[in-house]
Order: sequence, then C-alpha cells, then structure tokens
Amino acid sequence: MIEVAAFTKRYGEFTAVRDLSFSVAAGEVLGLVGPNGAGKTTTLRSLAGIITPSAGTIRVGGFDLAGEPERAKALLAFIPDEPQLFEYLTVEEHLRFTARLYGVADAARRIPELLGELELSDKRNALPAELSRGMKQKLAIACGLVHSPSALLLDEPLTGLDPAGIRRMKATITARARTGAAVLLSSHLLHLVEELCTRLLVIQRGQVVAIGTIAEIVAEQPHLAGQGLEDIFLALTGDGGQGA
Amino acid sequence: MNAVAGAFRYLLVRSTVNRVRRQVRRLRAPRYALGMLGVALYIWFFFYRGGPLAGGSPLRPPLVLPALYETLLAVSIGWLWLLGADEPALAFTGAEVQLLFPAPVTRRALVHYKLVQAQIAIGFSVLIWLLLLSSRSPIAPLLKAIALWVLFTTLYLHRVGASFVRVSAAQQGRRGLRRNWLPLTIAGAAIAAAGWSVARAFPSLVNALENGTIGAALLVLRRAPAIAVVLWPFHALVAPVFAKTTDAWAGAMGWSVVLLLANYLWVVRSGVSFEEAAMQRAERLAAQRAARRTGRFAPIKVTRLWLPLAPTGRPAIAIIWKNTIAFQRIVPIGRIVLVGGALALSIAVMVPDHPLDWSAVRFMALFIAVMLVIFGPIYVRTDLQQDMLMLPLLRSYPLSGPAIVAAEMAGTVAVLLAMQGTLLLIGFPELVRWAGAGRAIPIAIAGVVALPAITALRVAVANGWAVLLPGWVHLGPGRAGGIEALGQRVLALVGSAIAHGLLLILPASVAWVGALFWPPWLGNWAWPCAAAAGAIVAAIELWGLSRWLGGVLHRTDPSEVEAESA
Repeated sequence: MIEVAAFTKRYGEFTAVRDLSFSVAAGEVLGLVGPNGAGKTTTLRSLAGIITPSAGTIRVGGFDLAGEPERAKALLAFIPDEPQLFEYLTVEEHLRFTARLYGVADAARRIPELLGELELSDKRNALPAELSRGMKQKLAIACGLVHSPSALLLDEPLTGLDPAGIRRMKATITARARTGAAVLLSSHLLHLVEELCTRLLVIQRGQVVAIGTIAEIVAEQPHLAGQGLEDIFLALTGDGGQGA
Repeated sequence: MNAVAGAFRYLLVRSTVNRVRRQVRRLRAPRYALGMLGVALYIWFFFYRGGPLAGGSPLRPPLVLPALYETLLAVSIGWLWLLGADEPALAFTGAEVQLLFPAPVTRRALVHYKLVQAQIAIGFSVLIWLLLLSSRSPIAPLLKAIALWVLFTTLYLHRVGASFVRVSAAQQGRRGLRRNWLPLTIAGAAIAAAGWSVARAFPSLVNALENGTIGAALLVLRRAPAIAVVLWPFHALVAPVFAKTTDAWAGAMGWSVVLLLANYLWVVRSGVSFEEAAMQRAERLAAQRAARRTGRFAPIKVTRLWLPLAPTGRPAIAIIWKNTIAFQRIVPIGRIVLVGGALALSIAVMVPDHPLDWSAVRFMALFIAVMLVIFGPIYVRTDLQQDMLMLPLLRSYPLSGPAIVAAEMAGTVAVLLAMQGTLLLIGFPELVRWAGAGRAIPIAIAGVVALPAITALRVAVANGWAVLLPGWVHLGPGRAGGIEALGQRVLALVGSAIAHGLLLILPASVAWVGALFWPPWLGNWAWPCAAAAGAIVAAIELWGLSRWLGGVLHRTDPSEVEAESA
C-alpha cells in the first residue's frame, strides 16, 4: 500500500533523510523509531504529501505521490503529533468539513460513529479552544479516520491521551489494520511499538539502521539476542538517543 | 529592581539582534531578495525620484494634510473605544507569560517592558513617516522624528489604556465601569459629540465631497465647535509634525509632551490586573501557534450556520464553507451592523430641515462599497492570510495547489461581494438621483460586473503576499500591531495598491479599448459591455494567478512558513 524508494530530503546542505526505502503492506503496522532528529517526522510529512522529497519516489495505493498527488492523498490520513485544528469550527464541523474534502458519502452515519468511538459525542458542538490536549488529539484522529483511509500515518499518536484514551487508541489502530489499512506509526514509546507493530523501521540521522520484525533484526545482529526492545533500540542507534 | 531592568534589557536587546539577524538571513531566499529590491525601488521612486510623494507634491497641500491626519487619528481612536477587543493591547507571548508572570516582577515593570518593546515598531513607523513627510520639510528631520515619536507613542499608550478599560469592564462588569468612569465618560462624551456634530454637518460634508475638495469637507467638519474640542488632542499631537519653523515646533511640542505624559501616567497607574486576560490571550496565541495561528478578536462563539455542506461534491467547496463560517464567527458582524445602523439612523434623523433624509446614508453606502475593494481584504482575512499557518494541513488534503488557492480566495471574495452587494442596493436610489434612471441601471450593472473582478484581484494580491512572502506579512486573523505599526501598514497598503493597479492595467485597457468600438446605438449600455470585457480579462488573470500561486504553495516547505512567521 505504501512504497518508498530511495527517498531523500535535503534542506540546503543538510540531509534530513537519505536514500530511505521501505514498504508497508495492507494490514501491516510498521513502527518508525529513531532518536530525536532522526528524520521520522520529515519522513511522515513527506509520505503525507506535505513536504516535497528531494529525490526518490513515494507511492500510495499504486499512485505516485508526485505525479498524482490528489489520488494518492485521497487514500491517506496523516495524524500529526501536534493536532492542527481550525479554531472557529466545532468538533462535528471539523468532521463534516473533512468528510466533504474526501467525499465521504455516508458521512451522516460515519460521523456519529466516530464521535462515539473516540468519546467525543458530548463535545460535538465544542470549539477546539474548549477541548483538552487529549481531546484535540482525538479530534485530529477522528478527522483522519472519517474517510476510512487505506494508509494511516501516525506521528506520536498517543501524545496527550489519558490511559483510557491510550487503550482505546491502540484498539482503534489495531482495528484499522485488521480491516486492511497500512499503518505507519512513529513513536518514542517503545512498549507501544512492540505491542502494536508487526515490523520495525529504525532510522538514525536520516538513514535506515534496521528493518524487519524484532526476530529478523535480532537474527541479523545476533549480539542483540535476549535483549528487550529498549536495549535493542539503544544498541542500534548507538548514541543512546542523544541525536539532535 | 535593577536586576529586573537588566534582565528585561538583555531580553529586548538579544531578541532584537536575533530578529534582525533572521530578517537578514531571510534575504538569502530569492523571493525575499526580490521583495527587498522591490521595496528599495519603491521607496527610491516614490520619495526621491519625482514620484508622487517626492518633492512638493500636490498630494501634500500644507493645510489639508494635518487636518486629514487629525481626523483619521480621531476616527481610529473612536473605533478603538467602540469596537476594540476586550483584551489587553499588551500582547505577551507564551514564553513571556511562562517566564515573566511567575517571576518577582511588578505589574508596572511588565507594562514598562512592553512599552519599551513597542518602541521597535514605533521606530519603524517613525522612519516610514519621516520618509513620507520629510521632503522639503521646513524643520530638521530630527525634530520631525521627535514629533512623530511623541505622536505614535502617545497613540500607543492611549490604545493600551483604552484596552485596560475594556478589560476591566469585561472582567468586573459594573465595578469595572465605576472604576473607570472618568476615561469612559470622556471617551463616551467625545464620541457622542463627534457623532452628533458629524450628523448635523453631513449634508454640507457630502456637498463638499461631491465638489471634490477634501479640504472643504474638513473645513465644514471642523467648523462644528464640538468637533474642534474633540479634535484638539489630535491637533496638538499632529501640529509639531507639520510645524513650519523650529520655534513653532518648540511651541507646539509642549502640549504634545503633556498629552504623552498624561497617557503614560494613565497607563502605568492603571490598577487593571491585565495578567489573566493577557495569559488567556497568550494561551490562545500559543495554542494556535503550536498549530501556528494567532487571534486578536473576541472569543469565538458558536453561531448557527448560514451555509449547508453536502458530504460529496467538489472538495474545494469545503474550504469556501469553512472560511465563510470563520468570517461569521471571527468578525463581529453583529456589532458592526449595529454601530453602522445606529450611525446611519442618527445621520438620517439629524439632517437639518429634512428629518429622515437617507440620501447621505445612501451616498455613504456607495462610498463604503467601493472602499471595500481596497480595505476589504485587510479586515476579511479568512483565506490564505490566515490559513498559511495551517499549511501542513492544507498540503495533506487531496487538492491541488491551484485548487486550494482558488478556494481560499473565493471565500473572501464571496463575503466581500455579499457586503458590497448589500451596500450597492442601499445606495442605488442615490445613484438614480445622481445619474438619472436611464444611466443608473447600466452603470449599476457595470458595477455589478466589474466589482467582483476588481475585488477578486485585490484579494489575490493579499493572498499572493501571504504565499510569496509569509515572513513579511502578518499571518492570522488579526492585523499586524496597532497604531504603533502604522508605518508598516501604510507600506503594505501602498505596495498592495501598486500590485493591484498593475493587475488592473490589462483589464482596464481592454475595457477602455472595447468601449471605443462598441456600436453607438448601445449608448449607456456600453458601460456594462466594457465592464464585462474587462472582467473576462481579469478572470483570465485570476486563473493564471491561482495556478502560479498554487504552484508556489505546492513547493513551499511548511517548516519554512513556520519559521518565517514565528
């Protein structure tokens, strides 16, 4: 569903991501991990069509993001770590607006369902200013899910959520993957990654350090055998997460 | 206290130095370098090389200009008292709130800090106005600069003081009103006296304006005793700027400085606890900045929707829908209609000898409809001027860049056209009276055809700045700064007017050339035909602009906008 080939992003002299290639199949949850400044958000933003790659190709559902951006984006949902919401639209209006953008014919049915699933029904007429950080995050997630995307890009999706919200969010992600969505999830919460993701993509300084299931990664680097994900991560990234 | 002053000094100096450095670094980008070249050429041409503002230009008749400035300043201060936001004009950033409010710093020290910080914008305004007014100046530029500084600082202080009164009234209700009875009484009396006098003098004012002399109109206005009293402080502040000799300057500066000190004392001695309101504002600002936007209006209230939105259809319509809602909820339409209606009624009622004569109101409606072309996009900013801050979100939508730009502009154009249409309907009888029924209908149709095209091009200019130079324009629903940022605003307004003028050359030429060849039997109906020809060319220009700006939007890295508008 998501195919990335030789993706590179440069900012002037600085290369944020270099020659990154990977794919995420339908129903798969790929965990994108790396220390701060590794290029995770740049990768996710590029996959969402927000940033233009300097080189390489990104395909979503077979559509080239550079050549057919509208068709590719119609299949995508990007949920950023900092929810971007319109201050003058209510919760429900955000969903109606997003539904129209993606042409969701059954929006009248989908919207109440989503509001219920994310426990926002009571806040349907509230403006973002009246919502807590966690509720804003839930609204951003609801906006991302309203068109039932085939590919889901999540950047630190649990930021700001309470324990119940975290549990519900995990269930939501798993449910979307079960229905065939390809999920790419970036998080520093390694236990979450371990729990949810079918495969891992570890990057550092914009380059792939390891990719595969934990078993596959360990098989490639036998000295990591018997260690927990946190230790594996620190061993792979070398600097103990001190990257810029 | 010295430690606090030292910390504030350090913060101000370092912030300014870093800001200047960032502005200079920005010039490495070709579009900003080109923009700077354009600004330099613009200043050189207009102020030094025989442009309309260089030398002793007829645009600056010695008597009319000061009177015009005094009147405009009075109107802006009146507007501030009537329609200003119920939040402190001292805008603290999230960082300032987090670091300074819990620190052992007195409220007065905080006020002083913001007053000193405002001097950067005031200094820039002084520079711009010095350029505007300095050629053939009879007094030394330094003296003029001092007079301008006193003028802008006093107006800034007054704005802060007025906002404190509004905050106090909003927070404490009747208690706040009682506490601020003196400034409220003075402001209320001044506005009432001015409104009454303007209404009384309105027919003569319209006559004078119809004869084409602003000077005569101002004389009519200032002949009213109440107006003379209301305008006195503004006259005292403006007089040193236009003094003809150093002695006259020195004489005029006395009252100017007295007004400055009075406003300063009013602000620093004000016991209004602005922290909470400032904190709320900063929080809103920070929350919006986190997702990169800022607001200067009253808290948004959920209002009933005007427009339905079907779940399917052209996706770009969703953006027009969203922006229309934004306008409905952000702009205080109710308050504007109420004040406008009250003004119209008072003007109609108070016309001497002709009670309920609406002709003056209709004339004003026509005037405002035309003025909306120029000033509309400054106030209706629910387009890319606001949404550039949401660029990551916009870019993730399944829409092309040109489609996003066109939809964003269409929302503002629709809102402005609705306002202009209403005003034209109100003013139509006056057009019939002025042009006769035979000519009024073709002229009105020409207006209906041409106005959308002209307005849309002006909206395109405003959105174009936001897309091309996001680091130089204020992004977000409010306008940049207050009175202290008058210089920047004038520069932006004139720059936009020039760009708009350039875009209008081709449509206007086509309309004009077309008019020469229309068959004579068309008579007055040549007007709408010419307007239609011009509008078609304007539409083609708009299409091209949307494509171009859409391309730029598509190539713009959102992180650049975030950094530039920070």
